[in-house]
Amino acid sequence: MLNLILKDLLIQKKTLGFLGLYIIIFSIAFQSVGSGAFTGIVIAVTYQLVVTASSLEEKAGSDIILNSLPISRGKIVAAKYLSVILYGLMAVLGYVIYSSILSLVPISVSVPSITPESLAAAFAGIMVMNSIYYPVYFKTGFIRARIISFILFFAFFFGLMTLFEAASGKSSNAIFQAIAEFFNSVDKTQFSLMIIGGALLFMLASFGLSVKLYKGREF
Amino acid sequence: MENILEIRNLTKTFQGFTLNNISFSLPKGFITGFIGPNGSGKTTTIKLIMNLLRKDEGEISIFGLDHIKHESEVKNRIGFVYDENHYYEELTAEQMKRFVASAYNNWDEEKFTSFARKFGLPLNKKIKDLSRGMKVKFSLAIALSHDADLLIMDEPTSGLDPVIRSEILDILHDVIQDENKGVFFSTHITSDLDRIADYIIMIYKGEILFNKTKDELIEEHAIIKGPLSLLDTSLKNSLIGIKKGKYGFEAMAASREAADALVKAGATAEKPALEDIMLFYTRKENGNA
Repeated sequence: MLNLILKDLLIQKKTLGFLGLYIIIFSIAFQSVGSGAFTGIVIAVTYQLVVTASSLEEKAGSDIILNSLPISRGKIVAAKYLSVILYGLMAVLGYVIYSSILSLVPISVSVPSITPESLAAAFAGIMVMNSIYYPVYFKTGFIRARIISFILFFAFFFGLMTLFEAASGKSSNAIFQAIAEFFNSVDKTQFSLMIIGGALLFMLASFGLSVKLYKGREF
Repeated sequence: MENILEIRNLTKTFQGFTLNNISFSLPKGFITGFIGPNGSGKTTTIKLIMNLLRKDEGEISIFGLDHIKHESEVKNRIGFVYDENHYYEELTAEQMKRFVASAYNNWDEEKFTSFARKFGLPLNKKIKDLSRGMKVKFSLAIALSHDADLLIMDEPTSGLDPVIRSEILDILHDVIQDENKGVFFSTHITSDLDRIADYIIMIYKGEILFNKTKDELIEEHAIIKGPLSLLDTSLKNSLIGIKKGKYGFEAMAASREAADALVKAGATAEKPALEDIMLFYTRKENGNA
């Protein structure tokens, strides 16, 4: 299993090299969103790594090799789901390193700090987003699933950042204000744990579905 | 004789093609050639054996074990070489090898190093920078380095120059010196099998036409050339793939007795190569007779 995950990192070495650049560009472009920018960055980086890995698998036709080796289809699927968490952690680490460096140099770029809510939203976001994407990917392959992944990325990236903007209470929009009121009335730690728990359950159900679909797939 | 692979009543239907209730077995210690023109069902059969396609009906048993119930155990003992490269182009041969090695229980690093040296494999090169011949040799080195008991090869020599093809055939010949191993070699380049195969299975339009030892096959078939008048006799019924010319005909006799009778009647008989046998059988089916 670990080797499947490492293999995914190895085949996209070039993309990993650009990871820092993504973080810098996104953090500058979405400074105004506050801690939502961090959530957006984690979602964007994870999306990029998941899509690159999927496209390289498709390009190589690697399903033929992977399924000719003594590796169960369940493990192949599990490795992809675990990779999502790993990519998220890598994005967080990259963000922490980037913000630490910025704090040491005299540049007037503000880097929003990581809050428990933004961290929970980021991980819940990548888990739910990829839990929708992977069953389609394992059923149809990347060529057909990439449209879904593209739509999901935009929905989650802008959706979550809009939600953070709304929660900040700066907007005069009635819906945004209602959202802000809701967020102010709940226990943030409890709420964060709840959405992570929900996302985890959703991911487990999605994993089960993906295994079932991949087991029925022909190459 | 113990069988390393047994296929019984295997059926798989796609739109426009059916692998129709095929059965055959592979004995241990031999190289079995799997021949047939493109589109006959060779790759489909191999993909079914490897569980890359789901069978509609039938049984596949490898080393006496069901190939799905004992999938991991069975695949640990199979080495495979496919007609196309499916390894990750961006990885070096060394990185790819490390990944594949981690999947097998019995990976033998020393053996791999020895094959890599023998084949002159540049392990630090990316897979995409290897020539077609090197990619096949790399696949072969991988397939031979985990103590596989069954080697499954799907058109491994197509597109390779004669020198590399010859090298690969020599290696297979060495592999089969171990009588516990078996090789299943699918190809439409039958001259490769003339050199090394012990058994020949021919598939055409999704059906097995014959499954015999190569010597038996060549011994009992003969290319017959004779005057057109012979085709007016009952001897015509013993001929396959008759091709008529202006003054005579050419066909394949499928038994020694038929060939002898035709020679007595004024025809000539020649020993066929595997390619001739395949061509005459498919010509018959093509309706060119």
